[in-house]
Amino acid sequence: MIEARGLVKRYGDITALDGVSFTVPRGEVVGFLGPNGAGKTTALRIFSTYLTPDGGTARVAGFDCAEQPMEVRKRIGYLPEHPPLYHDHTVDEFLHFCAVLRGVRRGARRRAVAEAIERCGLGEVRGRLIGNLSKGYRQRVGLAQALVHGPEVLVLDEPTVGLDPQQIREIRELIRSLAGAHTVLLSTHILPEVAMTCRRAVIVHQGRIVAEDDLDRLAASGGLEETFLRLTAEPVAAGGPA
Amino acid sequence: MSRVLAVALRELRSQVFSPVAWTVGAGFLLLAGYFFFNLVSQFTVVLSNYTLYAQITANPSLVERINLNELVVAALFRNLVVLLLFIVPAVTMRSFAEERRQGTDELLLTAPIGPGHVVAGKYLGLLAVTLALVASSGVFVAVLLQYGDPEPGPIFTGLLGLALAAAALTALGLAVSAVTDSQVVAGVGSFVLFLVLFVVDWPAEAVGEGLGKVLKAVSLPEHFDGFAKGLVTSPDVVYYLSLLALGVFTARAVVASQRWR
Repeated sequence: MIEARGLVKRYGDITALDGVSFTVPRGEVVGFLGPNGAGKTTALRIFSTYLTPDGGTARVAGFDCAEQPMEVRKRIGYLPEHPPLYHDHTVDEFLHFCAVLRGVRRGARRRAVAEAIERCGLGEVRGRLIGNLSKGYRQRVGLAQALVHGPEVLVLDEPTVGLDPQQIREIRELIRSLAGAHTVLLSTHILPEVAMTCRRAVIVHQGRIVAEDDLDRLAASGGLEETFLRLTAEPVAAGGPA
Repeated sequence: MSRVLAVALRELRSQVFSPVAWTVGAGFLLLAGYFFFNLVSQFTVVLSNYTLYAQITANPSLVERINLNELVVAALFRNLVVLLLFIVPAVTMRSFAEERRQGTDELLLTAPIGPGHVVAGKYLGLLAVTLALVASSGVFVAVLLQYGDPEPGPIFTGLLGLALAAAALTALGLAVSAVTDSQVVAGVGSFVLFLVLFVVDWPAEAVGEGLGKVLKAVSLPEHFDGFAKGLVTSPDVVYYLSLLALGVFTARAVVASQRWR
């Protein structure tokens, strides 16, 4: 459902992605793990069609993200690292705007917005200005925005960053509930998050994939944290940027 | 189409709910009122002087040479078009720069609508604001119509010229806003660009005929004078529409190229 083949992205002299390949099968929630600056956000931005790769291909639901962005955009829900919210809108207004923008038909909009509000637990604050909401609620509005058009594929960039433990638990449960109906790629550098929400994980380090496996196996030798630290401790070999 | 409209309404909404547009509107009306007051008082002085001369020289036709349209209406429009220099950047500077700073451009640019639609929506939203400001100057025209007898033709063309100039500058301001993530850079950049359009023909007489003609051709006030006097000519209309198209297409190109950074 989500597929990267040899993705390369450079910003000037810096190589953010250096030949990244992995796949996320339909209906799975896969964790995209890596230390800060590993290239997670860049990869997700390529899947969302916000950026194009300098090399390799990214495909979502069978469509090329660089060549057929409109087809990809119809099928994907995207929560960027900083939730893109208009602070001068109420939750209701904002989600309605997103529904129009995402091409939800007029007759189905009210229902789509109501469903997203329900799923993300925003009922109490739906009439409030986003600018006046707590960080946790804003994050949920960001998630609702990604869900409102019922996309097959969800790409979430650090969805629980900055939340308190209670909120984190709620968001994780929500993400877990998405498995099956949605294919989810979830980036994070918080290991317990992956353990609680995903069955598989891809570990990226310095723009390269250093592991792609079931969590059980990644956690087999001394635990997930141990594996993660071992894999991301040293500079990757094989001709990376000097 | 509904998506373009949604983007336009959102932009308009942000403008209406921000103190910037209201400050700009208040400043515009305050200065326009000051100009108007000034022109009308000058007109009264000129009129009383001429009435006096006419009595002294026993030549009543002197008074008829004084023209309310030329002295007040045309002059007012020439002043108002200069105000556009200040108000349009203040309205357009937010548009793309603020989206980018807040990260909301990621929402717009990953939605299944093309960059052309995003730009068109934003442009329409901003245009509604700048045209509303232009229309608000109709207050002064109404006062003239109530208490004087100006010809309606030049008033109409003056407002049309002002609207065309505002539409063109709004498009250019949008384009400038599209290249930066700083409102200040967008505001100052558009102001400088507009100022260049206003003064570019100053050396027209000195630089020789060929280049002089070119400078006059790109000068904004040069293409406004006809409207102020009651003349609508196709070169003037085409000039403003060209600037408008240049602005909108540049903005579209910039937004579309963002993916390929």
